[in-house]
Amino acid sequence: MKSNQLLEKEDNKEMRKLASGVLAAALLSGALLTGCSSDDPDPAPTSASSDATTDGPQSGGTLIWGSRSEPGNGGLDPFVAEVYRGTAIIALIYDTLVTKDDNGVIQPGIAASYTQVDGKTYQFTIREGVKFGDGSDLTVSDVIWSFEHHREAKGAGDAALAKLESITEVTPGVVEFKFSDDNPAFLNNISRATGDYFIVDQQWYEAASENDRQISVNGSGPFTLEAWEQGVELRLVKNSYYWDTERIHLDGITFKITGDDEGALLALVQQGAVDAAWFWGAEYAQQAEDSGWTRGNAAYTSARSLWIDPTFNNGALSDVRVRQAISLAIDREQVISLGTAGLGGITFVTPPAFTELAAPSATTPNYTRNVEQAKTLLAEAGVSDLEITLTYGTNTTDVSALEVIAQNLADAGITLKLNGVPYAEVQNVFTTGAPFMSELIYVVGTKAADPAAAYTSWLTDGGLVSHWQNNPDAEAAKALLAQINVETDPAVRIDLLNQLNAEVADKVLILTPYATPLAYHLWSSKVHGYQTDPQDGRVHLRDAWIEQ
Amino acid sequence: MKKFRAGYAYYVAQRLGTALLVLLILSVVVFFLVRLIPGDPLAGYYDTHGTPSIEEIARLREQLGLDKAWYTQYFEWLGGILQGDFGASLTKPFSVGYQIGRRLPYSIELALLATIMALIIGIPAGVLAGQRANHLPDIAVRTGVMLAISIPSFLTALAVVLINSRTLKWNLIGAVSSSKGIVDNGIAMLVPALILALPFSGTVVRYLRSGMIEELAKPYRITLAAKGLSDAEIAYGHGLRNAIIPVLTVISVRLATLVGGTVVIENIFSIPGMGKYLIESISSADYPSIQGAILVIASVYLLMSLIVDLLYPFLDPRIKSGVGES
Repeated sequence: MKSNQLLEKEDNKEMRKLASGVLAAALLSGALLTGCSSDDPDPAPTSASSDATTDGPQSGGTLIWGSRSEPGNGGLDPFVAEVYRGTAIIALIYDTLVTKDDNGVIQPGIAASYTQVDGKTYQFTIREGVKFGDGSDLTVSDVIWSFEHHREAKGAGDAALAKLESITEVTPGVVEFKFSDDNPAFLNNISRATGDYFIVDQQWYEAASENDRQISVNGSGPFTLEAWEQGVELRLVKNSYYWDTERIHLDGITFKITGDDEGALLALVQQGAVDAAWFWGAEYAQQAEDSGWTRGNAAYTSARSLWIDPTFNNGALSDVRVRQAISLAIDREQVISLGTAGLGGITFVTPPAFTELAAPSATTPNYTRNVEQAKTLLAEAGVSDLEITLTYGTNTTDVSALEVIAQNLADAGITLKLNGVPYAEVQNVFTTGAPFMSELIYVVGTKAADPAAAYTSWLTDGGLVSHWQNNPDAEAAKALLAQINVETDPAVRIDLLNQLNAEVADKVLILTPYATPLAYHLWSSKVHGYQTDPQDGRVHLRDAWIEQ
Repeated sequence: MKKFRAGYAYYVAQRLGTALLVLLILSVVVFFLVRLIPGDPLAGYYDTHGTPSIEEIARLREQLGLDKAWYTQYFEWLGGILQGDFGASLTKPFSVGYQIGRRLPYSIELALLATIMALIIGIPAGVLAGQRANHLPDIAVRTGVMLAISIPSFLTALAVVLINSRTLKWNLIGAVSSSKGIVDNGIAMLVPALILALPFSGTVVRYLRSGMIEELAKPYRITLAAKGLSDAEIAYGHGLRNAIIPVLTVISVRLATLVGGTVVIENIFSIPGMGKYLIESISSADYPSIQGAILVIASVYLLMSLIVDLLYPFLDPRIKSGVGES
C-alpha cells in the first residue's frame, strides 16, 4: 500500500516534473522541456522500424545521430579507449574475431569459423580477402599481434587473456589460442561489440603516434572516420574495402554532439535536425517518442545497483537481517513505475539482457515487498531507528527512483538519506579503491561481456570494491563464483550463475532494485532496418538505411 | 608630447606588469583549487566500462604524471605553458591547447556578436532616452530595459527553444563549424547572441542614458544649439562621445565575461565554447583542462581590461594629462 506522501507525489506528478524542471534549468537546460512532457504512464515498447517501403532498402545518404557525448579518453584507439561512448563508435569501425547476435549466439566475424577444441584451446579460421580501411590486407599476423598487444597493454587487467599460454598459426589461416587453465568466458569476452578485442592493422598502429591513434582510424569494419570536430560532430563514411560491403546501405553516419544536456538533444529531435538519437533519461526518451519517433525495443542492459559496504560506520549492514529488511522494504514494481516511467524491469545483479539466465520470480528471496517482515527482521537484529546514507553521482537521471526507494524504506522505519556528489567522486571508489562515503553507493551497471564479470570485483578478496572479506555471509557466493570461473559446460555454468544470483539475493550482498536499458535509442520514420542491439552498441547501424 | 610618450610607456609597463603578476598568482591559485575538487581524475577513463585492476590504475596514474609531487606537477605545467603547451587532457584524446584553440573562437564569436547586437540596440535607445528624459520615449525605453535585465537569459533561451521546437522547427541547436562556411556558422550563432545581447543592451542603455542626461545638461549644449546644430548632431556628435567613456568599461568587462561566462546559453544551444568546456572539465575532474580553461578565460578578461586601460588616455583628455604628468 502506498503511503499518503507517495500518493500525493503520484497525484502531483506533473507539478513535480515542472518544479524539478525549473530547478534543473537553473543549472543547465532542458528542464522546461521535461516539464512540458506528455504523461503517458505506460507506453508499450515499439518494435523495430517497420520497413513499409515496398522497394526495399535504399542505398546512400548520411544518417545523423544525435548524441550527448563523444569518445572520451583514449579516443578511437581500440586498445586504449575505455569509455563506453568511445567503444560504441569503434564497434562501427573495427571488427572482432567473432560476434554475438541478438540472441547471444556466437557468430563469425573476422574468423569465418571457429572450433573449441577443449576448455583450454580455441581455433579460428581467418576469413580471406579482408582489408583495412586503407586498402591493406588483414593478415593472420595482424590477428595474433592484436591479441598479444592487447594483453601487453592491459596487463593483469586483461579479462580474456589472463591465462593465455600462446597464440599461434597452427595451419595456414588458422589461429590457435591455448590457455593454461579452462577459460569458459573467452568467447563471451572477445565477441563483445563494445568491448576492446578488435583486430587492428599492426603496421598502421605501430607507425602512428600515440595521439594519432586516438583521433584517426584504420579498421576493417563497415565505416571509417572522415572527420572529428571536437564538441560539434564526428563523421563516419562507408569503408569501401569492407568485406561485406553489399550489406551496408548508408554512405555515412554523422554523430552530432550536444554535450551532457539531453534537453538540447531533445530539441534537435523535435526540430528534425537529426534522424536518430540516444537518450539516457527515460522522460526525454518518452518525449522523443511523443514526437512520432520509434523507440528501440531495448533489452534491460543496465542493472541499477546499490553497492553495500557492510563495514561502513558502525557496521549496521553487516547483519544479514538488516540487509534483508532493506531489500524486503523496497517495492520494486513501484520504483520501476514511478522512478523509470515504467521503462524498467526487475533484475538480479546480472541484468535481464542476459536472457540465458533465469529472471527473478515471486520466489526470489527478499524481492517481494513485505514491510511487516522487514520490521520483524530489524527487531530481531535489535536495530531501531536505522539511519543510513546512499551516495549517488549527481549526473544520474535516476534521482526520482532513489526518492521512491527512500520512501519505501521509511515505511519500514528506515531513514535513507540521499547524498548527491559529483560523479567523479563516486568513481573514485572504483578507480582508487577509496573507502565508501556511505553505507550504500548507487551504481549504473552495464551488461558485461560475461555475466560472471558482474561479481568479480565484488567477491574477489583484495578486489578494489570488495568489502566482504571475513564475512561468512559471502562465503557461499564466493565459492560459486570460483566454480563459475572454471566451468566449461555452458549448461552447468548457467545453472551455477542462477544459483549465484539467488544466493546474492538471499544474503543481500548487493541490492539491485531495478534494471533499465543503459540508454534509449530512438529514430525517425526516415530510418529503416535499425533496431537497438542487446549491447546498446549501435552495431545495427550496419544494416540501417535511410529514405532519400 | 615627449612627456606624454614617456608617461604612457611607464603607464603601459605598469599595467602589463600588473596583469602578468595577476596571471601568475592565478595560476598558483587555480592549480591548488583544482586539486580540491572531489573525485579521481581517472574516473573519466572508466565511465560505465567496469572496474579496473589495481595494476591498471597504477599504470595510468604514472602515465598521466599523477603520481608525482604537487610542486613537480605545477612547475612542469607552468613550464609547458610558457612554451605554449597546456598539457594533455585527462579525459579527452585532444591536448588542452588544441581544445582551447577549437573552443575559444566559438566563445569569442558569440561574445562579439552579442556585444555588437547590444550596441546596435543599446546606443540609439540610450541616446534617445537621455535626450527625451522622462518623456514617453524614455519611459518606453526604460520599461524595455527593465524587462531585458530582469528576465534571465536562460529563461528566454529555453522559451525560444521550446516554442521553436513546437512551431517553426528552425535548426537553432548546435554549432556549425566555420570550416563549413562562415555564413552558416554566423547564422547558427545569431539567436543565442541576440539572447545574450538583450540584458547587455539594457546595461548599455542605463549607463548611456545617465551619461547623456549629464552631458546634455552642460552649458556647451546651448552653445552648440546657438551655432545651429540639430539635436541629433549635438547628441551623437558631442554628447555621446563623452557619455560613452564609462560605457566602454562596461563593454570591456561584459565582453570578457561573455567569453567564459555563457555556460548556460552554450549548453542550451549546444555551442562548444569555453564555458561549456570549463564545466565539462570540472565535472570530469580533468585537472589540466580546468587549469588551462581558467587561465585562458582570465587572460581574456585581463586583456580586455588592459586594452581599455591603454585606450583611456586617448579617449579622455583628463586621463591623458594625468599620464603625461606621471
